[in-house]
Amino acid sequence: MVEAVTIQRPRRWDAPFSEDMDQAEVDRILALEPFRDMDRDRFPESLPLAGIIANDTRLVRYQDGDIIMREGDYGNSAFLVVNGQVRVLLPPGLPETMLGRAQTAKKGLMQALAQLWRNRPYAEVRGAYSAEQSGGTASRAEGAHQARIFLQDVPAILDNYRSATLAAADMFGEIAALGRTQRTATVFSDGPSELLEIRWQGLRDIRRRVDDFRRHVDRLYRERSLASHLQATPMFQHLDEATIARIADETLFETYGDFDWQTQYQRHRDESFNRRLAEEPVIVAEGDYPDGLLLVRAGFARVSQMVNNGHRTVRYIGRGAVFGMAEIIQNWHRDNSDAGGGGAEEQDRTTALQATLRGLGYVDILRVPTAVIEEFVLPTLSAQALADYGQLDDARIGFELRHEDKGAGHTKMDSGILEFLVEHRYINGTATMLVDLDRCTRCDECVLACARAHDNNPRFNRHGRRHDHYMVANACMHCMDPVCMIGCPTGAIHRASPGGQVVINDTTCIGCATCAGSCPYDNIRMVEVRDGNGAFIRDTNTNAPIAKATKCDLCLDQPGGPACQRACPHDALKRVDMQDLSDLGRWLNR
Amino acid sequence: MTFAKRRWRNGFITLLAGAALVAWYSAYDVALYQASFLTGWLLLGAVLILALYNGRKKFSMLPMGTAATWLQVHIYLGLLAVLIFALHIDWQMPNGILDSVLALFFVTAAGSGMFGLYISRRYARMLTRRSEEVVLERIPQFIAALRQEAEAVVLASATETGSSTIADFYGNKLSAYFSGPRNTWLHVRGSRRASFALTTELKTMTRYLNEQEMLHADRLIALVERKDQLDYVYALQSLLKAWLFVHIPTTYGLIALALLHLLLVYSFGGAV
Ligand code: HEM
Repeated sequence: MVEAVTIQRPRRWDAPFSEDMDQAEVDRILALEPFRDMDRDRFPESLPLAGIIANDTRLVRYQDGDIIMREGDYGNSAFLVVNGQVRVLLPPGLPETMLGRAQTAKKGLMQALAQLWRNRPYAEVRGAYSAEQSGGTASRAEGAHQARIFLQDVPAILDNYRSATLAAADMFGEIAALGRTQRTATVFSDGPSELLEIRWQGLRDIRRRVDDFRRHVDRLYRERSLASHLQATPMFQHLDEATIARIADETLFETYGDFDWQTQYQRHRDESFNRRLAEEPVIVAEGDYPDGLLLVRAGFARVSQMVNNGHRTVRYIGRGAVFGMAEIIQNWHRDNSDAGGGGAEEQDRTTALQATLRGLGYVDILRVPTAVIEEFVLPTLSAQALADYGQLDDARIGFELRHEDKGAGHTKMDSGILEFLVEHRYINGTATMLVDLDRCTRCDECVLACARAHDNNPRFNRHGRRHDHYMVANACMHCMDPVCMIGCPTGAIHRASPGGQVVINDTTCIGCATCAGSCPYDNIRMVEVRDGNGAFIRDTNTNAPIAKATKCDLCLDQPGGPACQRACPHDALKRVDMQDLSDLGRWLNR
Repeated sequence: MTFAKRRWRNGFITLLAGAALVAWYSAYDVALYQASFLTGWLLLGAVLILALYNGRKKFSMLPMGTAATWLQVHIYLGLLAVLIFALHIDWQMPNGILDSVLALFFVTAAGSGMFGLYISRRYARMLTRRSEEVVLERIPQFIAALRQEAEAVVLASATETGSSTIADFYGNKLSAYFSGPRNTWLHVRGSRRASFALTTELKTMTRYLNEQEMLHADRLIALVERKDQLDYVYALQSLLKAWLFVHIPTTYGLIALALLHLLLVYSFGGAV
């Protein structure tokens, strides 16, 4: 008797990217470049290339002028041109308004003041939605759940802006998709085109198994952004271009954790601490030999040390942070001081990593081998810099954070609050609303001020999870990793320039609730909008009320900045950039 | 800056200003000028600046400094104003009717301010320690819901056990307790006497219950405790709001009377 072979189907294939990828389509795609030349044997039986095509890709047709991706958007898929051609706009690219984004100008003093009497008596009143506001672009519905923003005058755009053409078999968007960074260019369809959209899970699996593809992606990244990332790292800042290029050549790329961390997080957030910790992938462990300097390219990582039988969070680090430098410096000093010594004794005295680094959600790591650091970086650092970077994380010191600014002394951070902020991923925020309940008299001035600045609609809820006497209120945190921005069909939710706040263009928002569903913190609210008389605005076809996504915009258009924080008389409320640990520490230790 | 440091700094500045003021006042007095004109104008200026804080709150959309900074200025200038006031009235209550009423308004405004500051700091902590976050305006709704639950428990106990002990107790002691916020004055003073007494009575009553009745009584006790929590929050949050209804109206009364006082002084006081 032959036993049936069962395999565990990758969970993500429970929900394929598209229902329309039938066998004929899959075969057609497999016959195209670059899939044609991929070695099928490199894929395990449980994860065949045909399966990836069937489940992790979809075919999308675009019309002339349709915007495929916008500069500055976050996306989690890449595109392959199947038929037709597309245009990539070269710098400086299109103006913001053409991309379906709102231009936010600060209100003048009089306009600000006028909010006192101009604010409307009904909730969520909107003026007429006019196409005027998005200069040169318009939107149209495409199928049941899709909407497209398209450029109205393609020839004029081609005349006025520089662009490059991509044709069949060309791929684009893979760097931003895999690195979870912003799209670097706008791409639109030049004439009708057919594209294969590959979601990141498929990309990742192909990259793992197809050397050519990996080399291609890595080369693109090395060419385009690695050097600038390295250059922005404090300990490399003084190095010349040639040295940076040498370091870039030796740098390894690693990714940990799940790209869809927000769904995982939502599913697991009520489990025990140890269960969740066990699910966080270990990047390097306490006691390991420091074989490289780790740079966080995207995402967050937890730094923890063993205490008795548990792990105590010492710190968390995010984009741009480094890990392991102190140990590397210590070992280098030792090697230099007793060059003659050796043997087993020396082995004993090697400084191992003092802490474990775990991926929180999705983390993208650059690993610069220790030998490279020793050759190119350490000899060029000043004694002072070596001393500063060489400070080890020492459990006995406790949770003291070293201040970057001199003379500020030490700021202790209670481990409980640290665990709380990490546990609930509040560390993602650049403007997390913290309320000190020991100071808060519950007067609601913050809510009132917010309402006054937003046409009488408060954009946050003075409510949220508590730890000790701190509360994280339900207000948009303007995340480092804004999962809400992934999958917005019209690009209405975007980062404002130059501040980088996450804002929603009310005009181009189609009310699909994708962002509200993705926000792991439940900080985006869908509302039904009204006209000036308080009547719901309805869809001309379906008669259903028009919905819009709303959230805190950090008072982008107000002359004074976030009204909530300024309105609190008792110093109880602060919008905190969670990456600025010393600022947070100071606030917590007032 | 820590709160303690800020308190020291602002306190020190206020003390210096106070000392300078007393020195100035004495010099003025010695020089045989009428020092009460100096203190009078300073006092009016200070009161007007103190009152402007109300405006800052209304005009939160204008970039006029944070409310927290304003409150700091308000508190310490308020304290300084008390000194100016004392100098102005020469440390004794005035005699005339208008002047007495005016002084009373000042004392009430300043006194309520200090009281408000005290409870703002103290109640914030008390609320954090002993309660969930509840919005004041919704507490009556929550209480009504608790009352419904309690009545359902009482009804169930009567029909299921055939005994009226719990129902009687509810009728005598609890129906009034559940009909709205109770014991407000005790709660604001931090006293738990009333709830303690009620719990004791409940416990006494349960001595005569059988197991089946006990189940209902336990549920009722839990509801009483939740109600007590809500009463507590209601009392504290209400007072946190209510004191401003003394502080703000007296401010405006004070300003009106002060202007009248000024007019009279310049008309008949010989300030030429
Ligand atoms: C006679 C002098 C004073 C006058 C005319 C005055 C006037 C005012 C006014 C108009 C407000 C605005 C209330 C609002 O709009 O919500 C206020 C608030 C306040 N005042 Fe005074 N005040 C005086 C003295 C003081 C003193 C001596 C203190 C305490 C040391 C004080 C503490 C406060 C506090 C804590 C608030 C409310 C803070 C808040 O929750 O926003 N005041 N005062």
